[in-house]
Amino acid sequence: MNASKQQDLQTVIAAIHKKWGANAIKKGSVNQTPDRLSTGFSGLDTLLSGGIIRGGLTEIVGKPTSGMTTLALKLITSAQEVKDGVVYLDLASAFDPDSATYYGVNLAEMILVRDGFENVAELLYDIVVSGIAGLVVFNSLPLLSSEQQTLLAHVINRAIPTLTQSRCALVLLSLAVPARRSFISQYADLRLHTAFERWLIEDGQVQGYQTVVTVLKYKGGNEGRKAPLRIMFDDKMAEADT
Amino acid sequence: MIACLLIPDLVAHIQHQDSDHDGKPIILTTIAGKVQAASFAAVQVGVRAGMGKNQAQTLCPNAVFLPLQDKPYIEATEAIGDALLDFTNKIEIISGFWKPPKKKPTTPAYPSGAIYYLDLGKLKQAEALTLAEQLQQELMTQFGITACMGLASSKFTAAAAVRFATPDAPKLIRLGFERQFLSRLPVSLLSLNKDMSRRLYLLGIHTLGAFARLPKDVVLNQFGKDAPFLHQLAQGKDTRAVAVRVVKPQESIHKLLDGPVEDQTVLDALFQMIGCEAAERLNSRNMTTQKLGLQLVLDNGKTIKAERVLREATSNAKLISRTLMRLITSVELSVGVVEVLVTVSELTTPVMQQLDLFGTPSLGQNRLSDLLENLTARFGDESFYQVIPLETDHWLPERRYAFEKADVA
Repeated sequence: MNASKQQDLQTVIAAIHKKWGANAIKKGSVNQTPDRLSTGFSGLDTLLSGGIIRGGLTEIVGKPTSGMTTLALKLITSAQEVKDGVVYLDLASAFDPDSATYYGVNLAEMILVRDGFENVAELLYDIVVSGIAGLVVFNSLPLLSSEQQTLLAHVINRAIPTLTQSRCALVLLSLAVPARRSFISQYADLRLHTAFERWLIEDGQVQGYQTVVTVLKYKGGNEGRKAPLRIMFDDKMAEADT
Repeated sequence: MIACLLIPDLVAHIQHQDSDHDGKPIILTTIAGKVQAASFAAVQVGVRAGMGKNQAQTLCPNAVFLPLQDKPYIEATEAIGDALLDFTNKIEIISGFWKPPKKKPTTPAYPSGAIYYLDLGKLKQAEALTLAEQLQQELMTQFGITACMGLASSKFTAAAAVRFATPDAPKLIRLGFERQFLSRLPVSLLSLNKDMSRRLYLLGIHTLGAFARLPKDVVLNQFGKDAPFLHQLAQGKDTRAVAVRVVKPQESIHKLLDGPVEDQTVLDALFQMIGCEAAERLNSRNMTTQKLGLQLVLDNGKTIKAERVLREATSNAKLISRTLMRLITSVELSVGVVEVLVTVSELTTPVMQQLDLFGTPSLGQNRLSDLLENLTARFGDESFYQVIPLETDHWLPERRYAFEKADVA
């Protein structure tokens, strides 16, 4: 567009603003999609429009050995691939370096935090607020008491305003308790449920297992949809045909 | 002349050195309770690899059962291989430590023994026997082990001959008599697949001689493309050469201390000195190291070993010293150290790198260090850990990685 046309356009816009107000006409902008962090499983990524939400809380609930930790480890690998700092809050002291290495986690570029619940909760706030970490995984797999859940919910509530302004993806791994609703779930932008489905047997030997991830809560839609994940023991993991 | 050297109870011998079992036979078992190796006395009464623990105990009631440790065995096998270099550079270690394959485990024929093939060159019968005797003496003097030796013109015949050898009398098969010697031996000496074993059994072929007598085209038609090679072996024709042993370069620094040292400051100073010396040696050879080994001899006679694989190869004195200091903090010293041996191995030539003007670690990592610094300033360093790989292949999970307090510096 040449200078004279540009000037004419500005004059017209100024006239419209004067007559109809500043909101009457606006400059168009590219529709910015929320920043995502890949889960490492393309089927699940498709369901979540590219991965879990950065600047938000993702809660992964399930029973132990249902693939929750594997999903978290794959998220760490994805974060490290894009040079994001990763902090793993290991409340249960159950972090397994063997599995982490197997799923491609660079252990040297990760901070592991192990402490009592109160300290870890407080640390969680500080880490999120610092805005430095690209991914924070909070493994709260032992069942939290009501008091602990309340405290954690309070910490997350305090951290949410900063979290939404940052690129940090906060992932919470919690134990699935059907009878009780988690206090924290109200703050989650995304809730995923993992459930073991079946063993994958080849040549009479167990080669891995299939787990199903159900989207329990997601602001972008697709709630209730499922993505099967194949987690192999020997080779690399594959995904089931969706 | 090819020599096949068999050390049948090497594993048990090594573990015997580390423990006191009053000369009782030693049986080494896996976590699952399967026999993996046994000392010669136990093998003589019928204990075999793959056998259950209970069965082995019935056969050898006075045996001592110990868990198998693969690392000392691998080290000893390699050390023996290095010692044999004085006789020839063509050495092949055939039966190293047996690791079960991931998917379909099978029991090996003889996993506990170490087998070496040596190409002794062109020797006359008497010369070969003299050399064999010298070699056995050397192994006895240097390692305190007895070895059986089979001598023949080819690998397969030598391996078959070693079955008839004793530590006192090597078995030599004269040139031209290979086929005659092999003809009486069972066909199972060949590494046959299941189908071929079955077919041979059904055809009533039980010896190598019977198999060797089959016409070549019949063998090919009946047993497939791999069979002609086995057919040739049965006839005593084995053209496989013994590979040349490649010696991995390494540097060792040995320090004998005046008296037992427990003081960490003194040890740190010693490691700084060793680090400088190692760096000097590496730089003079234009090499970098990626693996550091530390061996400490304590005042009570015990030896402690530790090693660390570095993320990047280096010849930096400070880095080497620091790694050694970290290594010593990972071991528990109850008494003073009297001897230190540092080995720098996995030597490689330095790789050229394009340096940045203001070379810094990756952004994420750099910022993570800042975060760690801030957090430790506020919460102390008790809660923050870094996972350090140690012996990532070790069978005990707790020996593979160490959770160390995160280093802010």
